Formats: sequence, C-alpha cells, structure tokens
Amino acid sequence: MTAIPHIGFIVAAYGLAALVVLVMIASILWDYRALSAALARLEAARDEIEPP
Amino acid sequence: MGNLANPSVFLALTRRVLPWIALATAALFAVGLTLSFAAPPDAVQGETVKIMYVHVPAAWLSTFIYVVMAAASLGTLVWRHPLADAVQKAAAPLGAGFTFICLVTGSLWGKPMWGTYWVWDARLTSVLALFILYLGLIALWRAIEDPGRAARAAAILTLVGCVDLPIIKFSVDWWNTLHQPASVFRLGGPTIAPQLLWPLLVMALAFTLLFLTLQLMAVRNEILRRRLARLTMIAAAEDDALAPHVATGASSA
Repeated sequence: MTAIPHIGFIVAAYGLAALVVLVMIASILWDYRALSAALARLEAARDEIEPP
Repeated sequence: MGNLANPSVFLALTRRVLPWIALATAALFAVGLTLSFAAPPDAVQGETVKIMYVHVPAAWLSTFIYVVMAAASLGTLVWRHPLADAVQKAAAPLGAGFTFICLVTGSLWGKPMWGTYWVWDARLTSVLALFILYLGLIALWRAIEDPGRAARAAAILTLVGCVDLPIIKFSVDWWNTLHQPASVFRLGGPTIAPQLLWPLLVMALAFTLLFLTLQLMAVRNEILRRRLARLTMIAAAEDDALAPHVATGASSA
C-alpha cells in the first residue's frame, strides 16, 4: 500500500474546515439557547407581577 | 418580501424552512464529499488537489457574504429596512469564519505546491485584508452601544470596504502573483476538467446552503436579542416607576 503524498496537508485542511464550521454552528446554537432562556425568565417574572 | 420586514413573520418562516434547508445542506455535503474523494487526482498536483474542494467554496463564500453585507448596508442606509442591520450584523462572523477557512486551507495547499505557507502576493494579501475587515466590523458592532449608531457606522464601513472585492477578483490579472488565475468563474468557461469540476460545484452549493442555514439562525438570534433588550428596558422602567411607591410605603410602615 503506497502512502498518498502530502496526506497530512489534505487531512489538516479538511479537519480545520470542519472544526471552524462546527464552532460556528455551536456558537449560534449556544447563543439561541441563552437568548431563549433569558426571554423565558423575563416573561415568567412579568407573569409573576401581572398574572396573565 | 415586504412581509419579511416583520420580525414575527420572519421568525415563523424561519421555524418552517430551517429544518428543510439544514437537511438539504447535510445531503449536499454527503454527495459533495463522496464525489470529492472519488474524483481522480490532478495530473500535476496529484491528490493535493482535494484541498480545492474546501478552499474554493470557502473563498467563494468569503466574497459572496461580503456582497450580502453590502446589500444589507444599502438596506440600512437607503431603505431603512428593519431587518437589514440584523442581516449585516449576523453575517460578519460567518464571513470571518469562511475567510479564515479560505486563508488556512490555501496556506496548507500552498506549502506542498509552492514550497511556502505564505507569500505577500496581491491575492493572498487582499483576502487577508478582507478577513481583517470582517474582524473590524465585528469589533465595531461591539464597540458602539447604541444599535442604531452601530448599524449606520457598520454599514458605512462595509460599503467603503467593497473596494477590496474587485482587487481580490482581478488581483491575479493585474499583478504577477503566485496564485493561479481564475479557472472556474471566467469568460470562456471553466478550465478545469469536468471530473474535477462537478464535485467542486456540488461542494460550492453545499457551502452556500450551509451559509444560508447559519445566516437564518443568526438573524433569528438577533431578533431575539432585540426582543430581550426591549423587554429588559420595559421591566427596568416598570421597576423605576414602582420604586418611589415602595419607598413611600416603607417610610409609612
């Protein structure tokens, strides 16, 4: 079995691209969860003061 | 289109279409990656040409996202579209991310092909300038507290930065660069063999759909952030209105 020349560069390029994409997805999802939770807390606090 | 200016309509639409776009993105990536790894090696570059399938789509997105931001900037400054600044703000980190992928994968491709990770030639330098521009826009949004002022300042900087786009595109024609000239989007058609071109086009489409998915999610976040800021201000104003009453009550007790 012959080794593919420069395989390290190919793997590094795909690995880094995947990592950056995953970080972008995770940060957007994390932000969404944090915002949704903060909105839910605020609305719950408002309902406590003024019951619907 | 006008209906999309209403954040509630946008949120409802996003809830409906987002799962389908995400599914289509995943399917296209599966097909694109399969075709890329099955594609034959290049006659000169050998298997190293596989880096092209992530580098070129990332390079395409790095300028496409900037064009989207420039259009959104016009929406903010000229038409005062209520979601234009949210689109611009949400796109900047994604543009920075894809430009970073373009720069690093290009560098990893350059080392075995050119013998160096980096040269200060016109194409590489102008793309690095674009990356710095994205970082500057992200910093600008964070530095100015008033969202209206931040949106206008970011829109102006975005439009000024458009001057970098033709420099990126034509740098390989205007100057002697180590980077190869355009081989896909050029007059006279692509110069790449169809066996290599088709996987590249599928990957470019997959990356574009990925951007659309992430952009919809990020704009949704911006709408929620504004809603949260508004409700927090209302709650603070209500607390202020109650405070003297509570203080009076406390002193009479």
